[in-house]
Amino acid sequence: MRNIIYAFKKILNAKSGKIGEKWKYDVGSSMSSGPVVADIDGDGAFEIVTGTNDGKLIALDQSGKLKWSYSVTEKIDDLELMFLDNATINGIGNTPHTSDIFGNGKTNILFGTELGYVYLLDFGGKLIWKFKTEGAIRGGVICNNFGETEKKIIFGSIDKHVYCLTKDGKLLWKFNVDSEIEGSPTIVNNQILIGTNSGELVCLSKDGEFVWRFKTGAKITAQPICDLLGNDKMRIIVGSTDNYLYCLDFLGNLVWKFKTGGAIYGKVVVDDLNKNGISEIVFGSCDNFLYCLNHEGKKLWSFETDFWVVSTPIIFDIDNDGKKEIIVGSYDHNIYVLDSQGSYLMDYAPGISGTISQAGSYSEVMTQSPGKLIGKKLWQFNVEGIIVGCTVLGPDIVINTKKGHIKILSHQKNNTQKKEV
Amino acid sequence: MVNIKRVPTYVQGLDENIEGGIPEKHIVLICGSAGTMKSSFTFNVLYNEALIGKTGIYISLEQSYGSFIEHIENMGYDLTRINLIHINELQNLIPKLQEFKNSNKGNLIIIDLGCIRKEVTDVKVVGNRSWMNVIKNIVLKSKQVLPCELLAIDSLSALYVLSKFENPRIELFFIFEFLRDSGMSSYLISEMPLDGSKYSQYEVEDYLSDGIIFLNLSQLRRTVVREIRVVKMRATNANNDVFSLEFKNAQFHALYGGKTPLL
Repeated sequence: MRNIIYAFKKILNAKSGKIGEKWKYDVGSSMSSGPVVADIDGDGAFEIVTGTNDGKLIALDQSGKLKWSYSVTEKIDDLELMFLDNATINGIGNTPHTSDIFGNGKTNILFGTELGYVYLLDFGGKLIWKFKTEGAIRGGVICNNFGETEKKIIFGSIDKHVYCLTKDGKLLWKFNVDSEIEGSPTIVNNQILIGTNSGELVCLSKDGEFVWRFKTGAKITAQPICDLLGNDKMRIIVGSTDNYLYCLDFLGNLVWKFKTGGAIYGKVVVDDLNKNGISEIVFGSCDNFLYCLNHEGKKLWSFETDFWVVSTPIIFDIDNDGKKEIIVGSYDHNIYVLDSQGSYLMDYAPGISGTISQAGSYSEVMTQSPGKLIGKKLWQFNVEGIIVGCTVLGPDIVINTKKGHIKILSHQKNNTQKKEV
Repeated sequence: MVNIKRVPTYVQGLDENIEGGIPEKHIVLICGSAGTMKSSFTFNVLYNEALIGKTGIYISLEQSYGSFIEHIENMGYDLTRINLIHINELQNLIPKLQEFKNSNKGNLIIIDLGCIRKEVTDVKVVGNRSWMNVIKNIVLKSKQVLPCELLAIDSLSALYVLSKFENPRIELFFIFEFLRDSGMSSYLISEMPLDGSKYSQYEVEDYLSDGIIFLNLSQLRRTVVREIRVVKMRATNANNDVFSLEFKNAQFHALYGGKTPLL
C-alpha cells in the first residue's frame, strides 16, 4: 500500500511541458567556453557575449541578432605556426568577464587568448588596451578592487605567472608559481586563489605575496569557489583532475575531500537546494556523473549522463513553479534538467510499474519501495553538440556547443517554433 | 545492406576474410611487439594504394628516412612506381608537395619527424606549442595541396614520449577526434609489451579505434611463426581467427591452418 501511495504522489508531482529551442546562432567556428550574459551597453536589455576558437568575441542581443564582433588578429612566424593548434591560435578559451572597470558606469569586457594576450574592450566592442604574456591564457581574467578604489585585473598564464594589472593595462606585479596555469582565479577576503597544472591551489595576497598552497594529485583548471557551508563556516571548494573535490578552510587546510571516478574540470555550485538553511554542493565529473553533496562532503545523490560533465551546472527555476532545478550540460550532447532535491529510487510498485515509468523517473525497472536517493531527471534536450558552457538569460538558458552554436533553450508548455539566425 | 567502401590490407588471404578490407576512414591500431612487421604491414597498405593513384602520409617519429627506405627496398618494393616524397624540413612541406600536384602517379609522403626535430631548435616547445600540433598541421597542410586519403603514424609510443600527455584519456580522445574529422583512413602503429598483456599503452586506444590488427611472433620449440589476427573491425563481418603471416616478393600472405608455408 505504501508503495502505491508513493507512486501516485510521484504522478501528481510530475512536471509538465518540455525543454525546447528558441533560436540558435552559428558563430562559424568551434567554441570551448561558455557565454556571459550582461547588459553591457546599459540599454536595459541583456546581451550574450562569448569568445570563439577562431579569435572572435561576439555580442548578441536577446533575439540572437549580432550586435558587434571583435576579431583578434596577431601576426606569427610561419615555423612557430606549425607548433600551434591552427584551429585555436587566436582562440578565446574562457568565458569573458564583464565589469565597470573604470568606474564610469560603462561596462567593459576582459578576455584572454591562446596567443597570450589579455584584451580590454569597451561596451561597443572597441579595443581599449591589450597586454602580452609569454604563454596562452586559458583561464578566466577577472577584476576586483581589493577593498580599494581602483580595480585591478588578475589572471594566470601558461608562462607560469599570476599577473596583476592596473585598470589601464600596466603590470603591477607578477608571481611565478613554477607551473603552467590553466585555472581561473577567485578573490576571497582580498586574497587570490588560483589552481595550477602541477595540482596546487595557490593563495596570494593582493600585493602578489605568497600566502599558502595546497597540493592535489593533478592539474586544477576549475575555478575555486568560497561559500558558507554548514554552521556558517566559509570554505574553499575546488575540484581537481585527480578526480577529487576538495574542501579547505581559509588557511589552506583540508576539511574533507570527495572522490569521483573522473577528472573534475568545472566549477562547483553551492546552493541551499532543500531549503533547510544549509548549502549543498553540485558539480560534474568526467566519470559522466553530476554529484550533489552535503556540506560535510557526503553524497546526497548523483545522476549519470552518457559522457563527461565538464561545464558548471546552473541552479535556477526554469519552469517558474517556485522550485529550483539543476541544469547541466554534458559532452553527450544533452542538457539535463534535474529536480534539485533528487528522488528516492523506487524500483517496483506492484501492478503500476508501467504507470510509474514517466519522465522524471530515473530507474527503468522498478523493484523496491523508496530507499536510495538518486538524481531525478525532469527533462532532457539534445543540442546536437558537445556542451562547453551554459548560463541563464532571464527565464531561458544559453548554451554554447563545441561545434560553434549558441542556443537559447526554454521551458515550453506548448509547441514553440524555433528560428535559426 | 550498406555498401561500405573499403581499403584492402593487401594481405592475400586476409582481405577475403574481412569483406575485402578495412572500411574507409576507419582508425585502426596495428599492434605487435618488436619485430612483428608492423611498419612493413602499414607501409604495404600505403604503397599499394599509391600504386592505384592515391596519396598517403607516413609519419615516422623515430626511424630515419634513410634507414626506413633501405629496409623497404630490401624487401623488394619498386619505389619508382610511385612518387616518394621525403619531407625533412617543415618550411619545405608545401613547396615540395606542390611539385607533385599534377603528377599521374600516386604519392607516398614520408615525414621524417626525427630529422625535423633535430633541425628545429629555435621554437620553444612549451605550453601550447607542441609536436602533436606539428603532426596535425602537417596533415592539414598536406591535405590542402594533395588529396591525402591515408595516414600512418609510426608509432604511438614515440608520439607519447614526444607529447608528454598529462591526461592521456582525455588527450587521446581529442587526437582520435582530429583523425576522424580529417576523413582519412588512419593506421596507428602500437608497440605492445613483450608479454602481450595489452594492445596499446593506455588501453583507451582500444575502444577509441575502429579496428585492431594484431601481429605476433609465435614460438614453437625453435621455430618462430609470424601471425596476424583481426581482433576488432567495426562495420565488418571479420574472421577473428589467427592466420600465419608470410612475406615473399613484396607481397604479404595470410595462411589459414593446414596450408603449406611459402617460405
